Amino acid sequence: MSSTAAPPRVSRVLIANRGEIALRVVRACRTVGVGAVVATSTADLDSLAARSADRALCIGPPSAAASYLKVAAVVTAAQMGGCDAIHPGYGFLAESPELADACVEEGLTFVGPSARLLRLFGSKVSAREAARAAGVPLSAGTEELADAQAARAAADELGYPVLIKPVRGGGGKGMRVVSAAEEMEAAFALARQEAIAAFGDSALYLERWVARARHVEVQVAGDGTGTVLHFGDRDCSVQRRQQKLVEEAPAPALPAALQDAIRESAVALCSSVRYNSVGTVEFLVDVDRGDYFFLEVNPRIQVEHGVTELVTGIDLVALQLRLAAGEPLPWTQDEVRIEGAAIECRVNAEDPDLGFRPSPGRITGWHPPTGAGVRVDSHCEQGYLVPPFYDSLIAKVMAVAADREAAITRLEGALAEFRCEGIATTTTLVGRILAEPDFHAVRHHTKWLDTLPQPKE
Amino acid sequence: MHLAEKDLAALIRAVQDSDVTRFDLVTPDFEIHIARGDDADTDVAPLPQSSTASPEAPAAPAPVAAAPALAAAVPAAAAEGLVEITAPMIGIFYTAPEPGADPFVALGSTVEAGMTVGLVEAMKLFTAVEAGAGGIVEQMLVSNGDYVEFGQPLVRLRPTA
Repeated sequence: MSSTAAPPRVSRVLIANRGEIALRVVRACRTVGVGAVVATSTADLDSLAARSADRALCIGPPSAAASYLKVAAVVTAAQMGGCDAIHPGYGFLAESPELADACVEEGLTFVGPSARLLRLFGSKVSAREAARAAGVPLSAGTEELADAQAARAAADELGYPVLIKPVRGGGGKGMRVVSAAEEMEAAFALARQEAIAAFGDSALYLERWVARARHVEVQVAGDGTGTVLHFGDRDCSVQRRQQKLVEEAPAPALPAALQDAIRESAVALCSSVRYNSVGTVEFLVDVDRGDYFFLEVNPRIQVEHGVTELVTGIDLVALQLRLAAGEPLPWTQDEVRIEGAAIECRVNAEDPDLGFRPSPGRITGWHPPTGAGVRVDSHCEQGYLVPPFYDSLIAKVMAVAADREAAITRLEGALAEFRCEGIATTTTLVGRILAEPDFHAVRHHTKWLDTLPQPKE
Repeated sequence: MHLAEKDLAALIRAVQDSDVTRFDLVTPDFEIHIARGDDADTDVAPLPQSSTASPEAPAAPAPVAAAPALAAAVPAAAAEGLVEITAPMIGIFYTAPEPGADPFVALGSTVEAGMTVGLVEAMKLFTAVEAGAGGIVEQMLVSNGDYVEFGQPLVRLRPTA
């Protein structure tokens, strides 16, 4: 077992992921000049990422629980492949303190933040505490409330509408919006029942309900000493049931003072915890009140990192590898320039006409768009079998231009050109979103898409 | 043994309509593995998988049938009428329970279904490699201490039945 004090090494990277992000990391390894080995399930043995890497190692059956989520299999694959580092991508083990710990124990470099930070940001409570300590605004809310009467008193102070939330738990269970005092008693009782049923815990509290919120996040990178840079923000407000569909950089139509404050908050939080990798700090912006508050930190590379790369010219995955190898941040904040506007549409193997049911299967025709200012990150190709075992993302179609309107036009053209035959995709749907007047005018918010009438062909 | 497409469809339906969560059929010519529900591809019960798995390898959640064709990497097994035992996980393969001990099996050993033929270690955890069918060991494909991938053929048996 090697010492934890040994200098980190990144000369050959085990990529513990699949799909487009595995391919993206292979490319970054080439850029940085290090080896790349891909760990695959049997379902992905013949994937583009596996074929592009120096070597692919089969770590288990298709079920993620028995392959991509198995720490022992991933670590063993790194050893078998002669790797000194593990890149977890996003999802799967990307935020697993257990994998980060196992890397330390086995003398491997985890390409991501330390296990300490993964634990800190993995808990809603400790993440909020860290944000509070760094002076980052939190959503207006209460402590645990004893009963509906206490909730009514607290809501009078917060101002309606309010959201009843369970203290422990997540995923929307036990949450109720209350828009007037007379609804409180019934809503509180229902929320309590749901919280007990879902989490075995009756503790509830209130937060101010933000009816129209934009999801704004800040891309950051830290060197572990407290120095943290930001690479501007992204707006990811176009969501379907909390799944992002369209993302853009920079966040449009934010008052300059608000935008600066959000970016400074992200840097302050990450600096205060000596953040040591790339990451994203997510905020909700209250459109009506013109303020913002902390949501969470995603301590990993994100799906939508590409739009930030397009407006900064910076390869964030290559930066992540260099930081993992102990290199310093290569720029000052002033040297990070944000130019133009970039937008991304996620294309999923889902059928919008069948309630977004996943549509795995064989891709019989594959013609992704190309051209100036267009970028497509995808692991798909003609003849590729989209397996039914994993998430349905098949391509991220991006466009960059001098301004937002030009980027929208360019992306609409790219989506119109995109042909994926053999399976149903969300291409047409995301194209329609771009054409919405509300999207052009930046009147959209996180619940906007769910309120739009579902288009029918 | 020959299996028509409609037989395969009927087989899948039969498994689907029953309480069976896992169905494995190994013949000298092909293998079928069907898993359904929560039991689908649990990693506790190593079964002879279809050689190096194809992209359409069988697994949960829907009942899926393996293609009868064995992958090109090990063309010999089927042709020679042999049954393969494959690695249940990635790790280091050991032929004996501990250093210096007698190996679980050697060339010519008679193996019964369910018998341990080796161990695979990943991060100090040992998993037994069990024979999915009985037979006589005809080929040992890896050596003691070799790294093996999930699904990698380890031992080939001549079926006794």
